[in-house]
Amino acid sequence: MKAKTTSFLYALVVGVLVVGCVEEKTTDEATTTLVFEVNARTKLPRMGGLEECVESGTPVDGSVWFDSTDAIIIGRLASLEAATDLLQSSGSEGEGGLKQSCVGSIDPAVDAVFEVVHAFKGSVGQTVRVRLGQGLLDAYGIIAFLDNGQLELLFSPFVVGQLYGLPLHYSTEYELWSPLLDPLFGLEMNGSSIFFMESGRCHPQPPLIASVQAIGAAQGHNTSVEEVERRRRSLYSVITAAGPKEEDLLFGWCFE
Amino acid sequence: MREKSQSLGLGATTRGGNPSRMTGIPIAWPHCLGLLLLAGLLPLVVPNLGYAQGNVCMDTNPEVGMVPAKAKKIDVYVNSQAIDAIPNANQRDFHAIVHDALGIWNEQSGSIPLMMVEEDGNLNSLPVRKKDCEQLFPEARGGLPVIVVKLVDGCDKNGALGHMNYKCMDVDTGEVYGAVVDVYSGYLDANDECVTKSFSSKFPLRTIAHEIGHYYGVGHPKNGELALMEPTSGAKSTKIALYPYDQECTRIENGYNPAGSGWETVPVSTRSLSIFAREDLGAEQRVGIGVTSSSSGVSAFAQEYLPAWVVRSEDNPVSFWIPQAVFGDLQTDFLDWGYSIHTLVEVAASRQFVSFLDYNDRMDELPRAKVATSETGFKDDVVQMLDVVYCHKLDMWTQDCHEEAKIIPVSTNHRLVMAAWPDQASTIVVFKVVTSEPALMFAKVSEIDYQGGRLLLKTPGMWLESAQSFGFACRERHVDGLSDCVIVLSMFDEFQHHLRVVGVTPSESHSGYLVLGEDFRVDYRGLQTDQTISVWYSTADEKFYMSFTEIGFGGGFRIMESRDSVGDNWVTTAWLPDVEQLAPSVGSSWTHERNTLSYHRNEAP
Repeated sequence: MKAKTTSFLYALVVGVLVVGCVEEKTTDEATTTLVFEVNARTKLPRMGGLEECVESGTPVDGSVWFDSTDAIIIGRLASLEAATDLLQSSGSEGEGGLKQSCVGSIDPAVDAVFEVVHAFKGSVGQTVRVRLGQGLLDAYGIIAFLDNGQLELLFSPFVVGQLYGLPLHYSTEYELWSPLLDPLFGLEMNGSSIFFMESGRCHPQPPLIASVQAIGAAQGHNTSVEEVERRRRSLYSVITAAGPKEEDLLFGWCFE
Repeated sequence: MREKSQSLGLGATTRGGNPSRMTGIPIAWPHCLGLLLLAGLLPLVVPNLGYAQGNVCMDTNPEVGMVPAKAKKIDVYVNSQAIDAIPNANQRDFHAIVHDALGIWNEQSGSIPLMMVEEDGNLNSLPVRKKDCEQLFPEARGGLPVIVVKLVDGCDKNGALGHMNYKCMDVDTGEVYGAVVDVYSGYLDANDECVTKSFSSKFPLRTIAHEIGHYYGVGHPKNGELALMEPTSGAKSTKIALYPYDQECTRIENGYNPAGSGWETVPVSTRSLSIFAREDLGAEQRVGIGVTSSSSGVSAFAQEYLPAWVVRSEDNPVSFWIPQAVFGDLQTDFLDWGYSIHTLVEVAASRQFVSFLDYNDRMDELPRAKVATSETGFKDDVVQMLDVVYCHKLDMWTQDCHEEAKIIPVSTNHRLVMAAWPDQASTIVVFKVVTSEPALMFAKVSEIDYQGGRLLLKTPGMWLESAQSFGFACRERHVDGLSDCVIVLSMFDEFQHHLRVVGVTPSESHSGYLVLGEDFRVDYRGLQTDQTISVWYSTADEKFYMSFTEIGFGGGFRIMESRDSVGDNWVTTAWLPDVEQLAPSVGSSWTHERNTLSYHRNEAP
């Protein structure tokens, strides 16, 4: 398929521009300087852009953002793998709910495996498997499907070997890490500046944080519990009377 | 306070498919370069029509135009399993709302007919890939295109009422064949609580109709236009209908070119009457489209399974069609298909008005009348009877009518033809009156209220007694000394059928009625008494044309033209013996002043 070739070439070009070397410099305990050596500006997925909500997107307070996460890391993308361990069921003869096997076609979720370079918050281990469900991939504008059992991605900005900043949320029910709809952040070529892609107006907005040092500085403030909770809820696609639904952001689909 | 939780943000595709993603395909993906080029070329072929002229749809809403139009129908499945989340609602009502929402777009002939198929409570999404969708819907009635309308129990995190996700993609071309429309049962209030909405005549009608508009490729208006596609229902467009923006921004219709490279783009002017004929046409039926083109005098062609009306003119060059039938050099395959079931077309000056009556007694259709204006969008009403009202007391200064009197009810089971005179101030109507004696009435109509089943005449009409049937056409503009329009009447008197041509001049008020051709009498024993007589005007040679069918021994299909622009002397242009074919009906002045359009519909052979 020509598209594959195109994607591959694209990944190759970008990949060689990215040097995964990371340098962490510590001057003293009080003023920690973190610099990650990168040779290319991180390419990030962007959520939305054309939708219309009445309220213009307002950046979230940095402390609220920090406190609303379960972990914040910078990690190097090691692999992108299809995740078919648990699938939402949809099909003319299927039954609703989640299922572990599928006799029909599968649109998988994606597990992005990261080597953790630095953790600002949370204990995720040396590597972390980050789940990107079909709903989240939709929000990113990434097309993910299986072709003869192999994961195919179209319009994916993710590049193996590149460094990403990840606000992560842990699903206790499914024991999965995911950014949910929290925007990822990237690193500028100087290694200490970070940036977020502006989200569409209907999506959760990123904080006004521009450096890795500011991430650490965002913790420790007294944040409003209500604001933090509101931020958490905004990271799900659907809010039901019973609470947020996370399956769409964590799983793929089974069509049978 | 979270304002957006109270908004009715009918977001295009926030959670799911992002339309910008689709429009990004041609840029990011060389396979879609053709589409990109096509999008770039479209403004070159689109006539100067309102929104299309300023590229409002194309440039500021880049998602426009990405949904392919290869289907004859789009099957629509409904998943309303969450209906219990909405008080006082049931699945039947929800289905009715979905049906109404589809009907709003079915009125727009630039769109493909939407068919509501069935409830499928297990159908929660659609696969990404077209091939997987094909496996899931192996017997899709209209081909692959499919939409799932799903009621979601809960609220969008930002209070949007609905989303549309593009699905069923051809990953090699970037074309999209499916969509999932999520409709949320509630909205988030200021405290971020999910509040269930009340089922009403507007919810979820507007949401579904809006999201389906995205499937057709229509984006949100960016310049404050009234539109169904406004992203907030609390805004100006409170009426749930298509507005001019919606109509103009519907993606370009495609047409099939069997001799060319397959599906090709037809200019936006093909957005025309459409839907009635298409709606009931399945793959087993053929659609015959006849086009008269002023550029070549008279021509026509037919297509199989073409889900669109087409228009051709010298300013609207669509060269890939091969006329299968050209009047004057008529080929029989066009007419051998069988029997034209019906009916007639409208005409509009500057697209101000379209009326449409579709009836036949062969397919159990109801008589229908349609009216459309550029201000109110298409409206669809099944009208059995029309009240023709004459204004007794007319304020000549303000043109307000202070006293009305009903003349006579007119059954739409009988033919009614309308044309808008280019002054755009009046509509010319000819209709058959239900009386003890067959008669027609010609009138200038000042107000037409189809929903109320009412025509208001402010000037006296003209009775045309003894007329059995008729055809009717107007020239493009008034010419001193010539009648504006001609009516060709099928008469039955003196125990003979014959034709009579009447000239009328509505531009000079009712006093301009003029009977032409008193001496022109065409005796045709085989003339059917209630057939369609097609009349049209060609700007190329400034002549009127007519066509009709004679039956019986020696019968056939006949086309005549006026010897000059007066219309009082006619000669036969073409004659096709042994063909029993009702003439296609014809309208002129469609969209472009040099366009004329005709169509008829055939049964399968």
